[in-house]
Amino acid sequence: MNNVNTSNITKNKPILSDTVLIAIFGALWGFMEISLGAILKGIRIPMGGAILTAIACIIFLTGRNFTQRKGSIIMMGTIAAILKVFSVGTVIAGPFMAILIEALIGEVMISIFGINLFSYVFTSGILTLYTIVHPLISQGLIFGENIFKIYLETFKQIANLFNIDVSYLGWIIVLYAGIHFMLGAISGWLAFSLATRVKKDFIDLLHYRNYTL
Amino acid sequence: MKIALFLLVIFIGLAVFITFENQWYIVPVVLIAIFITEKKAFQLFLKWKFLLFLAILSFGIPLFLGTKDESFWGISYSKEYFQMSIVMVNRSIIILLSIRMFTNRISIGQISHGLNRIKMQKFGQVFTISMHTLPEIKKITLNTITEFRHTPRNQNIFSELYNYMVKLIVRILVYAHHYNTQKDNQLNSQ
Repeated sequence: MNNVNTSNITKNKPILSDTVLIAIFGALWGFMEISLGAILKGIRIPMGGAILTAIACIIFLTGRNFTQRKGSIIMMGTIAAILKVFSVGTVIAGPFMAILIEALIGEVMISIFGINLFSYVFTSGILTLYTIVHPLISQGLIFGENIFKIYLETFKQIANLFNIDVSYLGWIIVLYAGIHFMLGAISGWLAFSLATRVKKDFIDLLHYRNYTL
Repeated sequence: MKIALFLLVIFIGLAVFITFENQWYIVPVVLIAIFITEKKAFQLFLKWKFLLFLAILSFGIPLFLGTKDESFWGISYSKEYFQMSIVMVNRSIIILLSIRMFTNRISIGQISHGLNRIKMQKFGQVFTISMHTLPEIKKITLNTITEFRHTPRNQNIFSELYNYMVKLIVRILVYAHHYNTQKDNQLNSQ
């Protein structure tokens, strides 16, 4: 049974069509964004955005493993973003843009590096790193470039007040970014491992139920 | 939907070009237009966090940052940062109200219909399926989470969690398979 070529799941159309797979993983991503997103926002957990992105990576990268269609991550992301827009009780503009940009970055990275462990780990790592940059981008769009001038000036004032050396800030940022990347890398590894295991279990299940691949 | 999208583009375009000099003309006109189009968008101002943020931006920043070259009732502030903050506040209000106006005026059904019409790589079809399958996906996910919470811990929590994640994806794929078969049967019977 283990000799069954797992790529048959996607190559043989009757088993699972790309359209249904993309729709289902997009809906799962959207549901996760609405439910877990609201919980994480409510409890104000540190790195909540990175955690949400890491889980999103697990979902869409696992889904991407089952479909060969290019642009599938963008489609899943668009579904998730639209669902998020219509979810009640959230500030919509930021997360909407974040999901779309995440999907775009994910799609580009997977198209370049292909479906393998390295690309999954690297893509997820980059995406969780992006969560650090995203607030700056969205605030730049909403408030304009002057918001950066205010941030910079505020930082200088705080540094002067506490006599903090600028080089320390550099190390803090590197450490913070490193933690984000690690979180992403773990989720990428998990997505790859999950997809491999799910393929096996799903084939076993279909075989058990006498479905032909 | 077309009108809402057109207004969104126009309002955001105007917000981007706001300066301290022209804001006195642009902002009231856009606010009135949004009020006439979608009054509910102004519920944004009921959020105290948003109001607090705007207050800090408009009045806090000029008091603490920049060269204090102006004075108001004995309180010195930076004119440059005050002007900058006012522009930022107005820009953000217009952008956020425009987005609210847009999302309040359209429904998921309209988006689905619009996507079907533009035939974006079958996205309309994918989106319609995702809307049909969402309730079942919610159910499967919540059932699996409940099952995970009530299962006695025989292994470490990470292994257990991993196994349940596998279970969840397999269940979703099985549901996708049933959905596929159901659709095929419907097509064949027609």
